[in-house]
Amino acid sequence: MFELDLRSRKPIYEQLVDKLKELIINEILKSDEQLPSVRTLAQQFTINPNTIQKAYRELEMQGFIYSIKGKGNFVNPSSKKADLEKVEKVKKELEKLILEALYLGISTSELMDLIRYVDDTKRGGGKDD
Amino acid sequence: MIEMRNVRKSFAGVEALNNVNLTIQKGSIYGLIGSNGAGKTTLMKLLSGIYRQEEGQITIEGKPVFENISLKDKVFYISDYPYFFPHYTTKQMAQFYKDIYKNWSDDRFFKLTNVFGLELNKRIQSLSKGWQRLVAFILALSSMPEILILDEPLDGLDPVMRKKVKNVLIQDVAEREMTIFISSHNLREIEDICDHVGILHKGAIIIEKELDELKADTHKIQVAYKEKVPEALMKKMNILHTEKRGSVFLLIVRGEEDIVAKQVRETHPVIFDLLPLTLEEIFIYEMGDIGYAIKNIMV
Amino acid sequence: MPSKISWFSKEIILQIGRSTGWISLVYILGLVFALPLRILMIYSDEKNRTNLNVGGNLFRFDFTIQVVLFITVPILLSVFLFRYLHVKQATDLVHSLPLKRNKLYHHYALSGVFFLVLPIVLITVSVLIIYASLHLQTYFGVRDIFYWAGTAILATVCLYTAGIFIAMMTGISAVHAVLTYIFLIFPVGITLLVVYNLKILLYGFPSDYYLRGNLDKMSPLTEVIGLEGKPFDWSNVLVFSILTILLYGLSLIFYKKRNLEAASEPIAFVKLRSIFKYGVTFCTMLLGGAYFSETLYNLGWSIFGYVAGAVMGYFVAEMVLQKTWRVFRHIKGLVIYTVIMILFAIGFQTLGIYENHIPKQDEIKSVLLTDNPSNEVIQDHFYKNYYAPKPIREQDNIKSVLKLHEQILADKQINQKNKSTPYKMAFFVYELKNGQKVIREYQLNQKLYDDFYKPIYESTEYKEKTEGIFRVRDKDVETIAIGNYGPVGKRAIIPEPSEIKTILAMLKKDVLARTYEDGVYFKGGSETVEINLGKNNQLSLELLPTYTNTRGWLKEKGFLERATITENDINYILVHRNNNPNGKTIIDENQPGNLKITDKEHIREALANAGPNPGSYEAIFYFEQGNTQQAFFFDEDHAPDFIRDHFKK
Repeated sequence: MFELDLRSRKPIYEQLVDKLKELIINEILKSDEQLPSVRTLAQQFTINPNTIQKAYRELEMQGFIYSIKGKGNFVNPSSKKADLEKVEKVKKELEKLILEALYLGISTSELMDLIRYVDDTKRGGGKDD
Repeated sequence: MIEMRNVRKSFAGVEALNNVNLTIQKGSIYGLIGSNGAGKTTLMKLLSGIYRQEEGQITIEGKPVFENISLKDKVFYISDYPYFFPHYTTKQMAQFYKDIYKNWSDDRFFKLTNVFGLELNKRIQSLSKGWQRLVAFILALSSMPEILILDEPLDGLDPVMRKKVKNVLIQDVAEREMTIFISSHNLREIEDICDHVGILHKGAIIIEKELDELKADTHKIQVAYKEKVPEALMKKMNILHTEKRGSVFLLIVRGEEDIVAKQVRETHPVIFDLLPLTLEEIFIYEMGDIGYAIKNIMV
Repeated sequence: MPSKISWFSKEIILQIGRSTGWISLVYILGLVFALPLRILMIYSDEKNRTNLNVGGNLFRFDFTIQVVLFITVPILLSVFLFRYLHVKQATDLVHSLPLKRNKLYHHYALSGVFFLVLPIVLITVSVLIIYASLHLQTYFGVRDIFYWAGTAILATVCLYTAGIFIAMMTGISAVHAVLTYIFLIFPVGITLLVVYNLKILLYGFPSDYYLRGNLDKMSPLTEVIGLEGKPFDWSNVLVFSILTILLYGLSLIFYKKRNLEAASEPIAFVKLRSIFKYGVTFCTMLLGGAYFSETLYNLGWSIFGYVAGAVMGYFVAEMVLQKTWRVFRHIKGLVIYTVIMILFAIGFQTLGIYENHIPKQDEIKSVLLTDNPSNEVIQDHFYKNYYAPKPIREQDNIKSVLKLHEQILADKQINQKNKSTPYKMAFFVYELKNGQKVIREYQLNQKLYDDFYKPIYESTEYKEKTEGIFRVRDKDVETIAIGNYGPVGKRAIIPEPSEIKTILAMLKKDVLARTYEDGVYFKGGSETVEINLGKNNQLSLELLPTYTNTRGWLKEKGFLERATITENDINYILVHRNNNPNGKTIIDENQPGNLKITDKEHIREALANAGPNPGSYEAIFYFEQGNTQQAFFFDEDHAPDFIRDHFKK
């Protein structure tokens, strides 16, 4: 389903949260679908079940999943909040890149042009489909 | 829940542990790290009810451990050099434990020996060090403990075996909410498997925290500026360590990730990178005063 | 799961059996050789079958094997059983298990008892079978077999519990074994050491009085070693049982108190370590002092002995405790110890009060003066009745004794220095009117005190109180035998009651008339009177040449010729001047200057005056019969004129 990098500096719990969010946002995990149990994941990755538990709790708090006592964790259908999160993230990355571009001497108008061009090709691509 | 409160223990007047406080939640995997001679083994033997503290309380579910048979029945201790009765085979040893531990499961014993391909009728002491350790694990897990105390458990196991053993341990934690108390001087080993860590130095626990919390709190930042580094930023942040590599500054900063990132961005750096720290780095940078002890741990 | 709640753990017993069962096996094998097999062997040798008669004491079959087994197996067993306390990893494993120390202790300790008792039981059964099938009733009884079994069980279990007790005190198996034996022998050893040293430090301290032979009662180990000779009576049973129960209980208490990290520590309890260290230092100090004083009689060497002993003991103890030989920097304790000992020694000087204390004449009820302190303690009924000296009460005699005692005190320096010259004991027991006793013992050269001994030894009261002849009642005597135990044995037996009565009267008269000098000079001669009192009891006394009344009567009746050496038995006598005041020299028959006596009258006179103890002249008596000879001596006072004259030239 997904891979975890146990050697990475990034805490496993964060990796888990991110990976699961990705799966939910990209709708690989459908609404109301049950997530794999803590036990299964723990065994599959040989990671501490408490870490998985914690990741699930975090996802629940952020509204991506809901839990039913004794049954497990399920994907929350109204996870609109998920998109907001992603938007925020992309904005941040863009900000970083734009900053870099400005320093490299690319002018604001050039950047604007670039945005228009990307937007056009995306629409065009959509039409092609 | 396992608790140690103000525990003191000395050997013939030489203090091994002074004022140890420690809390382990049920079902958690708690890693105890410390340099050689910091008192890890002493602490584990106290927790296993082998040693008797001079002062303080050691309790499991609120009851003192020492000479408490109903508690010890739920605790299994594997020492750093597992010991078996001379000339005993795995099978004989299993019979012995079956007689002693109430919750012993034959079912589990045979399953585990099968999984690992262990010969039951070989004398344990004729096996290699790694296999002996494995026997200890199998015997421990077959007695279905609620608390497993492991002193330097993975020494001498090859990587495949290590993975298998970890897997079995995790299964028990997930399924039965077994608590594991594990000591090691290998930080990587702890980092992989534990959710809580305690660091023991000169006979006291100097830090006890959730692993993720520890990690979320400290960050490694690489920044570069066109001009001088803004003084205001340096003053604002809680910097533990600075290092200059060419024009790039390497900062170890304590604080919430978002806030730190925002603060840096506001100063418009040319290069900005924020990375989480490894456990090793956290100890080196965060605990300057005990830095030497950490270096010992990592050797 | 009833088996898991039950008190008894099969697997622990099994583990104990696997690890220590072999000791039991060795024990059985050893005992098989010592008893059943030995009995069968003796039985098969028809000529010597009477060797089966061991006086009802089965310990006498191969006692060496038995005693070695009895004193080693229990200790060995305790060492191996409680090794789990001494090997760190084993301790950790065993004590991490959900088992209380109580339970562990009883399992291990009682399994040991079982392993000790089982072999004895098996041997007992096999001996009983042999006994019944070979009809050995003529040699010993079933009771004797059970006496053997019971004694062996109690004795070994007692030693074994001592082993357990020490197991709790130490954390090293080797130390455990050594310490157990030291512990077992300690009461005897420390008593000996203290008494010996008091004897060195205190002039007149009656060491022999305090070491009166019942020392082996003080240690179960010596008691067991003595099983061949002494009966194990009910008092032994009581003492051994109490000791066993006590040690068993104490061991459990100490086990519970013990910290398990003591494994691999020589002494498990921190508080015991200083006791051990200074205890060893003290004992070796006493040992060193006693050794050098006994062998060299020199103050300088004695002090050296004390110092060397203390230093050695201190460092050895330290080495054991620290488990390294590099301990020579730890001298703080030794310095403190030395200071305390010096203060102690100075304090001891004030004990001159003890040394100089002699009771006043008007306080004394009676006094016993003897040269053999063991008289005090010999329990034998007959010996007590006839030989043991009794105290004297007459004022004049007490006064003489006090005079002697005062002189001995005045001669402290001389008597302490001259221990290597031939000495005698002077043993005083004063009984005071207030019921107290004052006991002193000295070693001295009796010759120097002749003037003081003479009035005492010549007094009628003293003779009556010390000489057995005065306690003999005529009607108790069955026969009297007069005899000579020289190279030519002669013997005459007098069974006639009337004659017996006469001889006894004569002897009493002669003994009372004997002078102090003659008593000393003739002591140890080979002519004796044996008064047979029935039941194998006999009182013997020397028949001195000066006992003229007795000898006259014997001669008259013709007994003298039959019972003693007379001039007719002697071929000739060779006399020479004795240059060795302590002993005999070899006489070269042809050496010029020797006197050869062949005249019968001279021989008779020589016989009447010759004494057995080295003196100025040595005389070799050559007998007619056989090629035998006997050496005698003369001093200047007793040498006949013709001898003195010969050597004057």
